[in-house]
Amino acid sequence: MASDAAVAVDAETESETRVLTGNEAAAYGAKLCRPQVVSVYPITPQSAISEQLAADVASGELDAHLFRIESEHSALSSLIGASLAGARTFTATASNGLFYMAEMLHFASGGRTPVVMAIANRAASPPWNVWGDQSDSLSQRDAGWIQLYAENPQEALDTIVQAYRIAESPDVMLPAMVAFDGFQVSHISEPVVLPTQAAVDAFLPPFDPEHSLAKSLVEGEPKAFHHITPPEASFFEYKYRQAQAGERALDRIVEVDAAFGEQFGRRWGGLLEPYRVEGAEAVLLTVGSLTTTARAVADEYRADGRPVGVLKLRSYRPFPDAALQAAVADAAVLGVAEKDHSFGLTGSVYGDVAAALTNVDGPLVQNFVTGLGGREVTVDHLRRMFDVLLETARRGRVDQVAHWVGVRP
Amino acid sequence: MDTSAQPDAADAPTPRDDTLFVQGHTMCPGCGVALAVNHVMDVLGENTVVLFSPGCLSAASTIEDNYRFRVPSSHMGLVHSASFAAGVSAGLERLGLGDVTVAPLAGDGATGDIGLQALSAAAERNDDVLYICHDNEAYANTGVQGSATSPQGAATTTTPAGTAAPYGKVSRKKDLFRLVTDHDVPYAATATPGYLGDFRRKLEAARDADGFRFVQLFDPCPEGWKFDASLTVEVSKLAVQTGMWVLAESRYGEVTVTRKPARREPVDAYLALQGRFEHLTPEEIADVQAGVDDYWAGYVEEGA
Repeated sequence: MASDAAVAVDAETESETRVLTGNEAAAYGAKLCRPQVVSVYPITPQSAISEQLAADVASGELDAHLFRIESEHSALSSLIGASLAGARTFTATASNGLFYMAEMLHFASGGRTPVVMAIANRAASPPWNVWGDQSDSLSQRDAGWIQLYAENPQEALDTIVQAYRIAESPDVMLPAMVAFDGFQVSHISEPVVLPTQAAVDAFLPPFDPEHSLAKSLVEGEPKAFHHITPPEASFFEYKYRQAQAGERALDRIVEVDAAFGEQFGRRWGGLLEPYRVEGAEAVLLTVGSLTTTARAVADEYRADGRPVGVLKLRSYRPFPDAALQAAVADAAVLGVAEKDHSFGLTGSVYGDVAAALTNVDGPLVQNFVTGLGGREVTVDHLRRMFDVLLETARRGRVDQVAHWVGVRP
Repeated sequence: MDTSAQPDAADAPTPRDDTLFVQGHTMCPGCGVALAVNHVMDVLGENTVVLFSPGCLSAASTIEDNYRFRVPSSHMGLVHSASFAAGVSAGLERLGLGDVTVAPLAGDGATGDIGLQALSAAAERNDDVLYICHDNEAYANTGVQGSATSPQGAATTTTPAGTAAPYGKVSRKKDLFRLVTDHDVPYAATATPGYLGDFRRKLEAARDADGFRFVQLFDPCPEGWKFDASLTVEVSKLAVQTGMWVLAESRYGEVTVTRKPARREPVDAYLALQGRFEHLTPEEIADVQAGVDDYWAGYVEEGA
């Protein structure tokens, strides 16, 4: 976490520090955003988020309509309907639940309904596995959602608050996932600073979409949402506008993180967060909780005179091409560590990183597929990755692009 | 739907100013759904949001620049009419618009096949939705494929009749009204445009109730059922008179049959009007008759 000690923290903005799991922190963050409609359906490893929000509604702490919904498909369907009505919405899911939502993921983004959803990342089964890897959300990269990845419970809470402001920006209006590793974040406990309700209210204005069913009713102008658009009608133009909104989201993510930093004293790097990248020959790009361990290993290597750095990817969609190019311009080699694999190719993130560096004079790129099914990614695994990268830098060429690190032969 | 029949603006009659479902849609001549929707909208009034599952109605009335409703609406997916509508209703309620009627207009396939899980769940939760199922006994818009709500003996494009499959559809029609009623919802009803008084009274009752309400409309489909477009009302009436369609309503699970024919006509006259049944032999027609007799004996007359 890039806590900036120089930023003064207003005593009004922070109530207390509590030891919370990632799930508890995510639920707390969601509650602070005052969602008006929440749908809950259990799935490991996010069930605690659903339980906490149900408890908050039952206790009156959260004034929302709670759907004890029958499936993830309906969880998202109900929220799309509520968002189209004009209400702020929240749900959480993982793996099979996210896959069951797949049809509705496209519906939410194409319909420009800015639902915010927490993902406690979980492997894609079978073999059956409820533990954490990132195959679920990474594989939904083309569904039109903003995808932000959080490293720890505090970032999960803060990013959910940020996600509403990004997603609901009038020039964005796209749904957003806030993903964090199942178990490694969802179930580990850390001290979390809790923003006050007043501070979040000041940071996040009420949802006020330009067009909604409620506005259509109140203004007496009957509008047809999601109407049929034959090829020569405006489908193509809608998609173009949606793509432009995704581009603008890149700027909003940076601005909103900066504004959050000013108000709460914590920034998370916007799109990407570099750590000791300056002067690094070998940089390891990480997604999620792996970043914390990678930084510790980078410190160890730096202390030993080996020039390595870590680059945390925070926004996977929209993908920050320009920011990535700038961040690694001086590195000899960039490794991409990710907990997923795109069958028949490499890791998903690697493919996007390599594409972003295609037309620029950037570093060589290698891929480390690791941690599948929740397998622990150890300090030794990270040392191996840095060693491979430093050897590539020394040779000046890539002999093997993809390495599976931590898999038994 | 006949998509080639785009209205010529110069020749189109001047629409009535006070209808909420406006002329200029491209539903087929004689379409039972179009007939029904006119009355649905007339009863529900303008303080209504309608939601379309993909099907004939949306394809014929919500095409860009040819929106034929005077109330706000959204298109939905096929799977989730009930949960989508429940979300709209909850969202509007949160915004101080709890008095708006939220009415998904969904086909029978969207309701009783792929959407049954969402339907059952919304009924169980008693979500504040007036669910209208336009039952034309097939996936009409995609080319009259069979659904669970196609009747026994009907030939559809996925239950065709052939020498190895003489019946067409073998199984009997899934009873959605009974399925929903068994959730003890505040109000559920069946209706058909051949009996407009009954039809409108039930829609008024549904409109004026709170919580989950379900109205299954039996809407004859000349194209899909293969009958002359001038006979829609007659087919609708014959379905009731033969007992192929039962007019009923329920409040919190208590069922009342609202129109009991003094003497049920044999099904032959109903079947004979429709090309979808033309392959049936006398023995097979007797099977269909037995199915109707069973239904009345076991459910309608004994109230099981």
